[in-house]
Amino acid sequence: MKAQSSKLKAQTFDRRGSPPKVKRPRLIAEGFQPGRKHSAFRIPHSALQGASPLLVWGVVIVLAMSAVALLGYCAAPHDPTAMDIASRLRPPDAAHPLGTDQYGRDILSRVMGGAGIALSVGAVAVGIGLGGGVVIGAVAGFYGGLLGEVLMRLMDALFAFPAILLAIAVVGALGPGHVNAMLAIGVVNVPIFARLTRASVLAVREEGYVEAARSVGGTDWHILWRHILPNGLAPLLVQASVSFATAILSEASLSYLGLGTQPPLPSWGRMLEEARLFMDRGPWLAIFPGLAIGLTVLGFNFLGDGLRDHLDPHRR
Amino acid sequence: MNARNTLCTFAPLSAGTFAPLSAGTFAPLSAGTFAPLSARLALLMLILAGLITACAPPLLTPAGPGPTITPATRQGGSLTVAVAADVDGLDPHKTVAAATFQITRNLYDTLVQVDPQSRIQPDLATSWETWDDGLKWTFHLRDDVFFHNGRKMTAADVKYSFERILNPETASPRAKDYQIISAIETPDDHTVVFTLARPQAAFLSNLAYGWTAIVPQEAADTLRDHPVGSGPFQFVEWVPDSHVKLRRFDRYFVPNVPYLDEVTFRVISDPAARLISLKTGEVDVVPEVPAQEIAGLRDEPGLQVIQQPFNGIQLLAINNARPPFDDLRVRQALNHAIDKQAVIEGAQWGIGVPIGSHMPPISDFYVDLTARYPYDPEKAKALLAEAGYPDGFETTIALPQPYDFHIRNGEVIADQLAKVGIKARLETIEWATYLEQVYFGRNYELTTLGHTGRLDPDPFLNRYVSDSKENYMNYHNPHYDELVREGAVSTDPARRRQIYAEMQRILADDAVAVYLLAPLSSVGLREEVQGWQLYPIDIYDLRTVWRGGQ
Repeated sequence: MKAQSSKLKAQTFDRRGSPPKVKRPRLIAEGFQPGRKHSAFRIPHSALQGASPLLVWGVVIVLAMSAVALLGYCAAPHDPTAMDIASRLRPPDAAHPLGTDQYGRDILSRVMGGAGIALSVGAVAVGIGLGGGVVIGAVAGFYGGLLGEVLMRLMDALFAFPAILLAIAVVGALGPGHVNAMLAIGVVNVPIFARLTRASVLAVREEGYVEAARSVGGTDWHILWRHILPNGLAPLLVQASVSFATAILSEASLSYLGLGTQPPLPSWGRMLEEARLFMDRGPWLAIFPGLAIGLTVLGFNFLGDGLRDHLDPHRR
Repeated sequence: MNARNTLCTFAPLSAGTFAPLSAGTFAPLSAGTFAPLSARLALLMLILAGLITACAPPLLTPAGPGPTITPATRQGGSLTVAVAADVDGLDPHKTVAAATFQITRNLYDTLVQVDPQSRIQPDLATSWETWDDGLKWTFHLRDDVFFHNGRKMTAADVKYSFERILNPETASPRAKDYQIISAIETPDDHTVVFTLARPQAAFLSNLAYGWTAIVPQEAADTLRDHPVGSGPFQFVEWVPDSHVKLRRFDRYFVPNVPYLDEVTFRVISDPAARLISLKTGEVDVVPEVPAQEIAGLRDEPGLQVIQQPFNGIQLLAINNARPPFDDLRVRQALNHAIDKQAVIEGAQWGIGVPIGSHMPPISDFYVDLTARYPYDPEKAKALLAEAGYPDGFETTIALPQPYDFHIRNGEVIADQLAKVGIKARLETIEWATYLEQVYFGRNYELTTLGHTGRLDPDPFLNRYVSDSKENYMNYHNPHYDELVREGAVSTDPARRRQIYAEMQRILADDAVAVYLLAPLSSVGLREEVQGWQLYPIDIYDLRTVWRGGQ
């Protein structure tokens, strides 16, 4: 393992050299070709080589769920909102592989539709958290001073709230709905990313290469974007993945409370809430959305943990 | 007719007579509790009991000539009833909590009472007459009534009780309903004369509610924790959030009543847990069974379900002031586009009957208007086209969270509206916010809600008066306003019947709302529990209940 790692390192840093002839696990990520364009944020093409099984499973589950979500939009077996009272509470059979719910709606189609909603909520919420958090964290870390203090104390205040409570408060102010749930969960994520970014920025702000960049006339923007932030990319990626899982759980919780996705749109959390009333007669109503939530959250957590191990220089 | 006869009139029928009605069947006399009331809502319920229904009172049972009563064989035993919320104290003059009045019927008596058929019957008063154009009411009292503390009840106690309700220091939340009383006299120990400021049609029925209980003055200060009344049961203990325990009062004025020796009301706030307790035999009665659970409960050996129409309705309210719903044709189109039977089937599991106006069929004043807007999507589309919406339009239905039965109505309706081109977005709104924005703020387009009836039709129908705070549908019709004013003071029963029939017709003709259904109340009981009655007000009356053979 050690030998492999050192070779990996060599390959990482010597892009023009021929790849080492070493047996390594075949990965989905192998489709990645080394990019020619020099971008500060480019992940080296071999970044996923030698990935732990955790990371592999994370990638597989996340990709599979994304595929399910895509299929849900264009190839669901039934309209996920179409009611058919005559065939309510049917156990799984050929026509409805996961059964039907209390209105006779096809649970498979609803779980697929729910995947789309869960993933889009996760993506938007993490996007907001990442965008807002990185800007605030970078400004606070790079400039420091009173501005930095004020920004970070604000973040601390936000961070002090339990996440779901804050999300409920934001949704309470904005009104229920999955779009507002996305915003709310995004807001909850901002302080997490802000702290992470600020820590990374502080760690390298005084490094020699930053000074060097400044000495050749680099603007603040240039220094931040090209020299400082790329150093904090790995923890941000890990956090994004974990936050994605949390966001999906939060959306399910909000929907369970009636504050998230509104009926008749399929949402895993809402499906669970509705299934509560029919647990004894239709356990499949709860089992499948529950499994979907569990599996997706597991996938993103695997991805996050796997990425952390993989990107951690000390573990190479 | 004395009170003993009265009681016999609506005495329990044998279990077979009450056999559960099949879902969707409608027993013309009767009603009951509906929907589960979650305990977390108890507080709101306090505020709103009687105004809006989301919670629900129980009602009646078919009465009629029952089998010969042999009280001796019914005596004895104890019973446990699962209640959804704890009482808010046991002083009937100081609360509006439905949870309190469900129980206090067993502790206190009122001048008159209502029977399962919504008729006013004697209770503490054996007879009464009204004179001086409805301004004076004389009540003749029983002379064999004792309080639980052993003292005999007299007219002075009646006078004291009403003065206590009206006294601002008591801060009775119901005092305003009785402000019309301008004087109370007691010519002798068995006669009470009320003088009213003006005639009031609902005065007599207002004396049948639990909040007009007659209490002894010497115990008044401690009624909250140590209730003393003249009812069939006396107080044993109240352990907050756990249970209220009562035992038989041997000097109750109806001989051999009650049958049970002991009754416990146990607080179980979770609906699922209530049903499990019933199935395991931990409790004997669950007075409010959710619609979706009834079929399962019926199949359970050792259990029975009694079902009666509930004194209340569920509707799709329309904001009549907001375009496009200010156009009568659009509102009529909504009425034609909604298949009420399918709503009952899809959202209420078949537990309900369709209605045509703002009145449940159980009411004496009910007029059948269900044929006014038959389900006809084509006609709905034609009306929409005529109103300028050939392709339909988009709208929003506000749904009160966490009342799942109203939310389900909304979901099924949205599905039906889509078929005539109306794209209805659903928005669940938490109850406190709902009250503020939708109910009192009138900031909505369509919403699903329910209303609980009182004994008199006036409080039920006067919400549509132009300047009523509760006119959340923004309905304005001077003719209707005039009818409400006349109905409230008229003492001529025939004229009142006419007035309330016309009001129902006007509401249907103007398509003020889509009147969906009258729910049924369902009570789940252990098989051996007999004689449970449902009333048009929210009470659990244990006088008629006994334990049959196991």
